[in-house]
Amino acid sequence: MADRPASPRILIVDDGSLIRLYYRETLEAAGFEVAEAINGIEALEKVLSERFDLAIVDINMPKMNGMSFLRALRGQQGEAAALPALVISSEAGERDAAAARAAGANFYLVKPVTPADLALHAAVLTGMLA
Amino acid sequence: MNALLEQFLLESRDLIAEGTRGLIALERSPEDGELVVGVFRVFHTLKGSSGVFGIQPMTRMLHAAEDMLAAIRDGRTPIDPALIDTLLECLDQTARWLDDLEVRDGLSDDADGMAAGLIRRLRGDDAAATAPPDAPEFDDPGIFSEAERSAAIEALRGQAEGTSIFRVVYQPDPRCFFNGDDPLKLIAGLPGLAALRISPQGDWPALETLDPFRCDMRIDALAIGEEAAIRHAFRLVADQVRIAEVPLRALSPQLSPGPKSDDIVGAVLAEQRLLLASTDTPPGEVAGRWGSAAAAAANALRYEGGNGHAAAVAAALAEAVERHDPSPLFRALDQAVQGRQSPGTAAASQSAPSAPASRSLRVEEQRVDRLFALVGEMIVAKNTLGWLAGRTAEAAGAGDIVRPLRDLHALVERLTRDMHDAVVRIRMVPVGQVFDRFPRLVRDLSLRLGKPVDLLVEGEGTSADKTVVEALFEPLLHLVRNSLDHGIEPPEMRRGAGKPERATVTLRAFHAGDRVVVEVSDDGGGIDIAAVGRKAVDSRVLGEDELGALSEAETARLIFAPGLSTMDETSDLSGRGVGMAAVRMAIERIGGAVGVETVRHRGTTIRLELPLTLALLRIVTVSARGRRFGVPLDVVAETIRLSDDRIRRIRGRAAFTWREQVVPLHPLGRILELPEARDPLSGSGGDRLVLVVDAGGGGGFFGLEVDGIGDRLEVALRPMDGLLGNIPAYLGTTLQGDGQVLLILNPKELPP
Repeated sequence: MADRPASPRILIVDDGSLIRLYYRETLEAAGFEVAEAINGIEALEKVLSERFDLAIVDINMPKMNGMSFLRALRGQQGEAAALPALVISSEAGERDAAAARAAGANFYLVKPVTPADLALHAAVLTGMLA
Repeated sequence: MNALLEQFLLESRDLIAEGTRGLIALERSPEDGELVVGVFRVFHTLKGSSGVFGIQPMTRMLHAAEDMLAAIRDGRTPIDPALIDTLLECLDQTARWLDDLEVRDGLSDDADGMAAGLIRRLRGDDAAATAPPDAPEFDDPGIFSEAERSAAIEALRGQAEGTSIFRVVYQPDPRCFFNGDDPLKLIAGLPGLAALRISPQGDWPALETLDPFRCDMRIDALAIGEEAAIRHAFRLVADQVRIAEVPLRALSPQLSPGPKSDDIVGAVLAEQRLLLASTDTPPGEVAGRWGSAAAAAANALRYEGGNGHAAAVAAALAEAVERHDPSPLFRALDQAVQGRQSPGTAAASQSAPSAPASRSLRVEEQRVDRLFALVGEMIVAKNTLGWLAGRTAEAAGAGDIVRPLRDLHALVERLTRDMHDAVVRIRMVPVGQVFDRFPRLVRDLSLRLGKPVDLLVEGEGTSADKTVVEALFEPLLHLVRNSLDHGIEPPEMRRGAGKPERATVTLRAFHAGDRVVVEVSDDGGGIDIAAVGRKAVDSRVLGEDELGALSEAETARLIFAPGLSTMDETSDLSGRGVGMAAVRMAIERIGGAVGVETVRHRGTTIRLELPLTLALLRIVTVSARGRRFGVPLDVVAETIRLSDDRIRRIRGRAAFTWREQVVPLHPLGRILELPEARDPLSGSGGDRLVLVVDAGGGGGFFGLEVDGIGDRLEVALRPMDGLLGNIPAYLGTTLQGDGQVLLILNPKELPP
């Protein structure tokens, strides 16, 4: 308990402000620290300059979409490349889950995600409650 | 109820019990670092899950409590009883909120206030000023319709950063018209107004007393915009307006439940395996992928407390990267998955808050009760079959069918009995369920009475039928209160008597044959038997001469007689003279018996002997004045016929001699005050039918005169509840083969 920071940090990567607000509300209430990025480029800048425990990534975004962001992320040198990533997309279907996996996502959820599910998955992927 | 919420309630209640135990132990041993960490973890986990469900007041309060415990853990704050009290209250409050969530899916209106109050107490009064200023009930947007709320969310879409939905409550000053305010104009000019409700502040007065110049309204609104802009609109009436941002979740329509979240950890682990297995990875991305898969898997394992497996996965990653081969990672993942499936091997979860891993099934109580009721009905049907077999045997010309019918009846009888036993076994629960509530009770009582008391609990794993265990709480509460209040002497008196100042109360349970025994012992002053005897004579429970004939043990038993209390003054805790009699009746109602052992200046033990299960009851049916009743066979010593000349009058009461003792005779119809039927039989000069009943508890025998004696039956007793539960003359009811309800008498309580 003592050697890990109390609040895992999560980067939300989504171009929808409403979605970001909803994730932020939910995750902060569950005890996470939250930062936001509105596209892949901004997200990449953030993960290379700050430490995060999890990225929650949308697929369809302007400028740099989720798939490109994940590939770019995994291709980085250093620790940031291994940042666990949870893709939450409105595309339901095994093919999309496989595409996300191929891009290097660690888990895949389909919108809409309830607050409870979001917080639980974030907690599991960051090892939070241990 | 949503399965996730159900799980949350279940686990949280376990955690509350664990935390309560921990806090009480901590009060006793403040230096025990492990206890602090244990309690800290309870609050931490509770807070975490309450956050998951967005129960904000609970999260805030638990967060403050957790901070306090961290301070204790780090040695920054000393432990004192007041702090323990407050922390216990936080758990109590959490338990109440869980109840609220269970019944109506939301917290009570005062939740914010309660949380704020407890937070202030946790932080000490000096921090009161910094407590959250937001008024309660305020951020609840529930008064707006779902359509209005959805429209507000819709309107928020595409707004600039920094824009939110705000809840506005404007209660204009009643004299505002004279100040030149125009509330309606003000609200109409609010930027981003999305929803509006106008209502009177209270009930409307009668028309003749209505003052039209008085502004009586409350305006509720949702507004979308920046907080500064909204506040600006109300700058002239700022004292009459409350504004707060609405959490988006509070506005969102109920979201459909997502994927089954039973085993997220398992799903995450499986997904990492798939990720590692994908082949078409560009070489530059391999290290990042493996690293992220290892990190995600290790985190998921850590989430469950499987730190050993998590470390193994991390080590495997290094090896895999070094050898450019993912197989060490596969091995580590597979081992972790296996380890999860068979707990007990390797790193079993240390953090799982659930009970010791016995292989048990959590079943809703109602389902078992339903099964129990069904078996009860089967027994009724079985009895009907017996009756039918009997009728068939009487009927002429049915020779061939009587035998197979009787065989079938015997088979069904055996099967129903086995089934009843099996169901009864499902209903067995440990008495610890009831004992668990006492450490807290004893702690609070002992503080209030100023008598330091240790509670010892033994045999809490002893199990008995759910009904029996549940019925134990009230009687035990009486007994434990009695012990603390009357049994245990004040500390100075104990010191004078050479006893340790700290008294001991023991709750003990064990099996003895087919009974379960529960004892409440104290090392207090014991019962003054002579005083009990005097009191009994004074209260006309018995005569002076009768008292003389009693042994000490028999005299002590008089504490269970109705209308007897040895305390001159009653206290608010216990003792209104009905206590012990009530305990006896409650225990007898579930087929138990009470006993007492007491040694002056050494202490008292009250012993409750209870049936292990509510087994089938063997009864005989009797009739009196045209009505039928059941009498349990175990109290009937003999059934006799009495001719009138054997009945004597002793001091005006009927009695007869049976086995060389004089036994009083009571007609059942008169005891129950049944309306006089035509009474065709008893006047006809025939013998009287009498059940000789053992009154129990050394009370001797009495004769119960009935008009008729019928079948002997085996029945499943249904205890009386509700209003009827308090009538001591009846044990319960049972359904008869013909569908009629039969009342089962409690003969021990019958004599007038």
